[in-house]
Amino acid sequence: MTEMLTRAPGDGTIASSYSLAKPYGVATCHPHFGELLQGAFAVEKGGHHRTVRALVSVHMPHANGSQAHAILEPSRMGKFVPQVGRTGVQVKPNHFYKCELAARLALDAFGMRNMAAKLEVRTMVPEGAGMGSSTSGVVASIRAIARSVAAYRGSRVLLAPHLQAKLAVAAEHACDSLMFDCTSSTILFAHRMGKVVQVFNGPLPQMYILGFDTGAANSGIGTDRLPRARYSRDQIAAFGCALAVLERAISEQSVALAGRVATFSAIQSESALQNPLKKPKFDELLRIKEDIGSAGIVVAHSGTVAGLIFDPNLPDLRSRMDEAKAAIGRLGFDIRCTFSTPY
Amino acid sequence: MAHTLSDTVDAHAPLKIVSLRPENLAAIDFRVMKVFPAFNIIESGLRDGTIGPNTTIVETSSGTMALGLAIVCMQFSLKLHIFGDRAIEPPLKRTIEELGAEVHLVEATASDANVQHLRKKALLDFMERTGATWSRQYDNLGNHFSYARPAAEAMRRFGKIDVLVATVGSGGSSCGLAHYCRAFFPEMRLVGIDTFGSVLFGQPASRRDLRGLGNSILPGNLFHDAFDEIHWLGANEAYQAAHRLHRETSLKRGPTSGAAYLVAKWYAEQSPKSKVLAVFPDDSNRYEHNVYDPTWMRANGYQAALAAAEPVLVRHPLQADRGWCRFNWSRRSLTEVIDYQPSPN
Repeated sequence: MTEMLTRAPGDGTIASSYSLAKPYGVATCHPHFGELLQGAFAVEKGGHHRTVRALVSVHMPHANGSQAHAILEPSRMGKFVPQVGRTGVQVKPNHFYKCELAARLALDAFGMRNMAAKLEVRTMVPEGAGMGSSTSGVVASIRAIARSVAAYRGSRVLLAPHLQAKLAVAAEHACDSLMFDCTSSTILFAHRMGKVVQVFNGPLPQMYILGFDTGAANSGIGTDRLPRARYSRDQIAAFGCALAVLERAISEQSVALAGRVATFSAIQSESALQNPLKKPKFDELLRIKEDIGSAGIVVAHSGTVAGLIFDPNLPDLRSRMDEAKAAIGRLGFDIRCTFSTPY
Repeated sequence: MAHTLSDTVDAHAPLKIVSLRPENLAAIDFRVMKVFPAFNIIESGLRDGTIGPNTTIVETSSGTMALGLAIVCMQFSLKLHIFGDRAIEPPLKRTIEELGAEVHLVEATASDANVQHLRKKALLDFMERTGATWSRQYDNLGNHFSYARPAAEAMRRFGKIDVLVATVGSGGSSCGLAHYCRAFFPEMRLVGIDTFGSVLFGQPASRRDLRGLGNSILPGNLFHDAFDEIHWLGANEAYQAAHRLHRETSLKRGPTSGAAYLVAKWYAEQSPKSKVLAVFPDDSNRYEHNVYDPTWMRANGYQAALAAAEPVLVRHPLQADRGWCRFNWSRRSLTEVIDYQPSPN
């Protein structure tokens, strides 16, 4: 790895010449819309049970998330550490410190410990809604750095989703599973460890989701300061069952079953033993779901958005969704989007 | 250690979900169902310190919980004393003893109404003398938790479950399985099977010939308002059902499994669009020399021709008297059901 550094120019000739293109990379990452399932799962390891916090994200693969531009700056070689302000990464906007850290960690991972960079991140994702604003920015940053490194070296850089996850969790302590492809398989992701706990054999069934915000008035939730939910032994046992129902939902490609998992998880989020995250008017939402024939309710387990899940093959889908929009509007929630997931 | 134990639990109860006919019918084929609550109760006791390495465990049982506990206690090297009655016949007694447990039989006929009280009294006397720890299968909430994994397996294999049919003894498996299935399918119907003379669903205690389900005391693990419907079966109905299960599916199981098969199949045929799951708690080991022995069956007057083929709908638990009866429990409490006066005729 260090030979890359010694071969790097670093003598300022490139940096001093404005006419030469700098090693540059642009990359994006889509947002998500809450989690189909999030909780604590008993995982067997060597005959012992460990409880692992994990989630299944609801990706928004068609939506604009974050875009990052990265430029390596060989003229500013130095001794950098993954510590805000000492990363050698100039980030815009400058309060995007998680992206700054992620960029540093990515450079280190590619063996470019002394390389400085400029990073600019633009995000369309609202903060605190539970749509992955920080992870989409962090993942876009990591990807942009990888591309700039590739441009700098003039060779391909392989950026495995597992590496993105490891870097993202190192940068922000907990991250969503946006870096994994959602169109060919489904993963249960340990968001505080950055590890895949379980891979399901196939994508989630295709669902239409009517998304809305239950907390626009309170301007979102600071997900970093949110105390983590604690679940009872009974709830942890039930989360194990949720994985079985999810497996079945995926093998049958059943929106109905996936919806059951989502509603179950939303209810657990409401009723965690400690630090539940209650959505306003949740019971009314459950009633609307029943009345309208929606397959389930998906919520952000650390955010304010929620959505009604619909089977795209419902015969009178349009009118049902219109009815749902009106009912949600009457509760005083802003409709945010209608989207298809996982593809 | 823990690793070999979960292997052992799997070996005794591999958690097979068997598809049956009609195609909307399936069963969880447990074989030795009670290893699940036995494992859960002992393991959580060890974890929270109420059971230590030198604790002596005591329990009352007519058989299957005794076997489950004997398997688990042997694996954890814990001493076990079982207080049973003559339902624990010599072969089962020898099996339990070979696993290192001691079996104390109270002097009562297996079918006596007060057998549970006599077993419990013997157990309490022993506890007073020795300071042993009672695993309390009837009131231990760990009993419910044990059924999360079986419920998961059923949903993984069978998908959405519309009707769950389970025999009721401690309330552990019926209420436990229903609790975890209903976390996803709250509308799922729970059908409980009891026997005449059992106090579980509002009948006075009296002599019971059919064992392995029913009870002469009310367990704390039984949540009455979980049940949509209750069926009462007589011994002959359950014994004939075990034979029918064997003949129709090749699965040779005990009469509690037979009872579950009979009732579940009836539901599956009544409503072909509903997916019906039966719980088979036991295998046929204990029944080769009685239920599966034609001489014994004849000598005791159990004849296929005398068994009820259809349930009779009753309007109050006290009206259920023989054969095969069913009652719309409708997720009510026991007092709600008992206090409700059905209009005449």
